[in-house]
Amino acid sequence: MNNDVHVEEDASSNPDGPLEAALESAALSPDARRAARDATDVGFGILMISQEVEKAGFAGMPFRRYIDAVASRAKVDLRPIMSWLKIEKLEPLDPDFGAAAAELAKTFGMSARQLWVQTGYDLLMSLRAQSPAPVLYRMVGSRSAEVESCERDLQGAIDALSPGDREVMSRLRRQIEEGYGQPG
Amino acid sequence: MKTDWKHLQELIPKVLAGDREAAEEFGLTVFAAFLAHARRRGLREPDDEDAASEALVKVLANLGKYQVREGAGLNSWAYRILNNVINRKLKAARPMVALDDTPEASLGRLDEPIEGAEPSGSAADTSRLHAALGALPSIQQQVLHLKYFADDRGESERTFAAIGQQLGIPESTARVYHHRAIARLRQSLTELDKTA
Repeated sequence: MNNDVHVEEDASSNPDGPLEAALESAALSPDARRAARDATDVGFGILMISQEVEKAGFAGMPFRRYIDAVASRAKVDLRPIMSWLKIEKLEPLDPDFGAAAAELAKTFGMSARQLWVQTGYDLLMSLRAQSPAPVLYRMVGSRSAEVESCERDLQGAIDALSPGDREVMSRLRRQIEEGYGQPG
Repeated sequence: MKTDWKHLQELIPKVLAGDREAAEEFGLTVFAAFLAHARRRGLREPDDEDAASEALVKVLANLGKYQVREGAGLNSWAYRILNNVINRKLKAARPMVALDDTPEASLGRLDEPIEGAEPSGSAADTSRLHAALGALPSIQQQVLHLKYFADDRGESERTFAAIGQQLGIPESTARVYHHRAIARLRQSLTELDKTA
């Protein structure tokens, strides 16, 4: 049996152009058409952002700022994607921040290591209620070296936290590892 | 007409370059094809639209990887994604009976006589058989069709492995659908014989 699907009209014979032809030939109900557009928005948005993430690679900056920046460069609205992934909010002090960030980051093809550093910055900033030190933005050669450098900076900052705040940071790390299916 | 997968394949570079109009044409066409396939596989509202949406999101989101990894056969790649989604939904809706260890010869067959029924081969019988077949769920009809009627390669009969591959479902699932279809046909035809 062929997997090709039969539709009702010859799209190529439609004089109004390929999009209209596709709309008509698909013979979709208004609800189905809306579902198709929504899914297209989400899938296309993920594709565009993933491409930007691939181009940008790692950047030593907070995750939320990074995601906003790549979405802006890709000219994509993040809200439909967040809604599709059932992510209601992305607040560092939210107990599910790590899980939500992992879901989003995996979708865009980001590594767990990059996410840990970037969300670590987010959480650190929220816990200390201050901006990250400029050292977080430095470039030190290769991307791998930059990640390592940022990881060290982050660890140093975590070590200086109170035991309670360190536990909050540990929870974030556990959630990211679980989100990526890695052993804790 | 058939979905023009060649044209859709030609749209991919435009979609990857960020052409939203090309993405919309791609999305609507693929969604329509997916929706029809989901319904043929036995999904009903709202699962059919959910499956088509989920698969379309995955196809679009991974379109860059498709070019790199596959190189050809957009429809095969896309339907593999869709079938995985459909299989998961079907599995969630109805747990399958394990027939893996049952020898094929001991499973019921469409061409076996039905106990107590008079074989005649009349037009009325053919009509009754068609009605009983038509009452089966779509996926069971597809399995029977492939097993007994869709021999286009000169083979005497397709194996469940081949049927599973064709429909994008595991071999064991194809066996289960076949088993259920035969049981249901027997029941339907026996009841009809009693009332005749």
